[in-house]
Amino acid sequence: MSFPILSAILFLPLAGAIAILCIPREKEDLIRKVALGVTGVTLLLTILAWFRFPIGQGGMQFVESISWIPSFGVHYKIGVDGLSFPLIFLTALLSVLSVLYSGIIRDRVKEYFALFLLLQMGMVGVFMALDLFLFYVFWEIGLVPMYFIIGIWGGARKEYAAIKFFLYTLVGSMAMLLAILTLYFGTTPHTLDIMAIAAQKPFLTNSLVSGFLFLGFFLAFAIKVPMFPFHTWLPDAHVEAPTAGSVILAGVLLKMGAYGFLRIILPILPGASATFAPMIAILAVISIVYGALVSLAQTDFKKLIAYSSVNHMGYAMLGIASAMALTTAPVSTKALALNGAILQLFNHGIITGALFLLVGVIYERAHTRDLNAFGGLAARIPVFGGFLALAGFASLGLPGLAGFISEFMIFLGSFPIFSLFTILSLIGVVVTAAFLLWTMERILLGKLNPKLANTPEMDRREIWSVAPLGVAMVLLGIFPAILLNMTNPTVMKILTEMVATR
Amino acid sequence: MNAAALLPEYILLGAGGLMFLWNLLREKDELVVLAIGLVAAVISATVSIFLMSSQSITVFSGAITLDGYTHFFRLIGPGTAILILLAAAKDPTIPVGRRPEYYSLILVAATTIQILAGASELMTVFVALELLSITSFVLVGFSKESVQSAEAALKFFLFGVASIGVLLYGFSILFGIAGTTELVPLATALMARSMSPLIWVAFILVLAGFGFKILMAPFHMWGPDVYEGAGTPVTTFLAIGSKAAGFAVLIRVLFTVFGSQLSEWVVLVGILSALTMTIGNVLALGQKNIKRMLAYSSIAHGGYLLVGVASGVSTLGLSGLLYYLLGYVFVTGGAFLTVIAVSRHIGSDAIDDYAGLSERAPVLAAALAIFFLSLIGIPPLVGFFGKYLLFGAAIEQKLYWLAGIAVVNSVISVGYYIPVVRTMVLLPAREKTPIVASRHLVGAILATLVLALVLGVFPEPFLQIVSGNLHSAPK
Repeated sequence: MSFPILSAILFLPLAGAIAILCIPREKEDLIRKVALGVTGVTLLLTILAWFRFPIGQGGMQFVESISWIPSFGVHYKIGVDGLSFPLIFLTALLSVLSVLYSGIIRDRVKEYFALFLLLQMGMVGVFMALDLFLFYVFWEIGLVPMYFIIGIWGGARKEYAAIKFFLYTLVGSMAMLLAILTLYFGTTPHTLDIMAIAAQKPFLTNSLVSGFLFLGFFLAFAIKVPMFPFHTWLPDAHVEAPTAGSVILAGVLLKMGAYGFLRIILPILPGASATFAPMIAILAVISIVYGALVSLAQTDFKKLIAYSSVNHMGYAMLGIASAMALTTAPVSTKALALNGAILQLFNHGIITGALFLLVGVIYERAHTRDLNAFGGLAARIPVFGGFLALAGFASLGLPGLAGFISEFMIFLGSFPIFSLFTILSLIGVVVTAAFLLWTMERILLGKLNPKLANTPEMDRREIWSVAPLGVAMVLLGIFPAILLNMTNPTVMKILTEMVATR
Repeated sequence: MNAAALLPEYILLGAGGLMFLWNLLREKDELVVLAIGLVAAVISATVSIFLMSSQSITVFSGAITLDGYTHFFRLIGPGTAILILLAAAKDPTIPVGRRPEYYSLILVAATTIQILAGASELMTVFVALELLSITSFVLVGFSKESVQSAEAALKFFLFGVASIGVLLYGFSILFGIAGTTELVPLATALMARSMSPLIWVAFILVLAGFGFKILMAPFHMWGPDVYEGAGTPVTTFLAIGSKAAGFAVLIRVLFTVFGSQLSEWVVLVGILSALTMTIGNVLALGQKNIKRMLAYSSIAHGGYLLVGVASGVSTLGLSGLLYYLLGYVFVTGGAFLTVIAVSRHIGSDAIDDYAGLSERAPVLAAALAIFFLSLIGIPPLVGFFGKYLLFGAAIEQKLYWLAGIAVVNSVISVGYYIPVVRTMVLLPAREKTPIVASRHLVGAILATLVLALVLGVFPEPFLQIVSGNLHSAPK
């Protein structure tokens, strides 16, 4: 691979951020254009990489490796496979759309876009990193820009939400740091290469140390996903963040947690994974049901969607738990669950991303997120109504739209492994349908609130921000093979390697 | 040959003396004196680089050893001197006529960093330490008119003298046991002996004596008051220079003399480390004065460094220690320089008065925010990699409990660093006038900022140097 396409995708946002920092702050239009251009080109590069991705191969592609700190076995090693590439594509897509939507930001424009691009680099880096040190560095790099994005451009309780987000994530990260160091010293020869460590599987027989390592990584990832009971930072952060911030938070940052389970915990600690799989499944089910029930109780539109994220990520975690579990079910069942989980991650990203964008649209017009203050908007602003309906139905899992296939696959794959938990999760499906339909009714149907009698329709910028996601929802609903063809070989590889060690 | 080997130190001390004399002979030549100091520091560092060799040599019949370890501090010394001189340049709290003395004292005090690093004999250690202490006492009390300054100086003096006495007593016990004051023969004499009560007493006295200098709990009590009372450039020196000197000598003496009994005192040092970082971090929370907050944070960082001392028996530990110290010196130096730049303009050290700094002085606010992020340990900054090495060393030595406490402390430190960042960036400014800082300060701040980034992203060259030097490290 002569052209380092992954490094380009990774560092182009950084170059963009530096460029923006050099532009004088008055030239706001130029800054917006540069940001849009950079994220756009990054997306194009990602699409280019997609076309060149050898479908059917489960291993790492486009691998680049440079020795970075040889004294301590640290390498700049990046690569993508069927697990990480969809997520990188998701990041690129949501970044462009968020930057487009962020044309609405009027205050401290320069800092906003510089931080946004820095954040993009951090997120993409997490998905690409094949070296634990590199993984950690990118994981933390994403922390600071998000703190500022929430803290400066956020809502009424932005500072509280920002510091809560920062601290929760940092605590998890620090636990992960200790686990990483322990792994380094546990390998012979000392290495931080994820693939090499996975091949060695240190501490496989030492269940005490494995358990602690698992918990160290688990804390970091469970906080990010977020899994009950570590989810309490999410409602505050999602609600108080500016619209584009919420899109990125829900669309990408949460996926980093789930990704960590699959990239690090599953291959490196298969024994501990199997031991703790039931616990993860239980927490997943609680997240599903609790998340849905709390959503049902919300009157703040944004908070409702935030809690629905807890619910949707719960499905993904159920699928992941099933993949980790020790079971007599054949590998194909686990593959079903795991493919479903990865697909769910992507689907949730586009669906919830669209929903948050739509929240932003309505908030800009009504200056409230109170669901009882809306009504009859389907007649008044039908384009908005159409998009909201599309995203709402996708979120509740209507067949034909993206959300259905992934949830269905997860249930199909988890039922033989965790029958009771799968059945309990179905409660979540019903409740989700309830609150989404109710929400759509409150916003779109019924009498038009006189205050909103003159609400303008979505403008071009807003439509262009949401439309691609709508297209994706339909496309993936009808033809999920687009993604599944890429994820399945990697899923099979992960699972067969896991089974081989049992 | 012997004479040339100590050329860097001669240059610095000579310059210090010259600056002092210049002031006596030609008054009001403040800038010339400052220039002499800066130039001398640069020349000394350059000469040190040329004199670097992988062989270790001793001079003055073993009083000073020039090995890789000393070479490292021969760069820290002038670096610190340059930073502090720039911080102290045109300090408005010092009357113009007395500034040349001020500069010369700073230079001499910074020189002791490298002398202490190289000192391989107890009396040399003592004399160099006294030189550091006395210049520090005078510097703290330099603004004679300020009551705070005088109080701080007196406190510092009383504590300092007591601790030096304790140290000397420890040294005398060591002399009594071994009949020599040279570190290596001392080590031989103590080798293969386990820690008898007498050796324990000597160890604790020596640790206490040095512990005072590095603000190790429970000898840290003087820190916050003295840091707050002294003029900020002097506080900067205490935080980075005095601390570097203290660690330089502590590491060498402890590892050389008591090295063979490491397994016996590791737990004690580990406990003191945990105590120091926790006290520093917890007391820093809720501080309203930025100097006091930085003083407590400085205590906490001493605690992290002590983690390295507790795990220092390996290459990873020692290189981590030196790397962290390097990062700490420059980042804390940069942070203090920024505080000086801002406080001189707004005339206050209260954190509340930093509100909206990102609007009034975006570069300074960004710099301070980045320095704080490095001190918390966020990649890709130098502070992160330093912590990575130190915690790694602790884990390698199976001191999991210590690594755990250090990690928890890092998270706690967010509680006092981030509020300042928040005040600067998220809160609106009370007055909108921009803050213009003197160019030399901004230049120094930017230089330390770049260093923090470069050392964080590309630590390998430095690590090669350190591990190359460590072949002849104190052991």
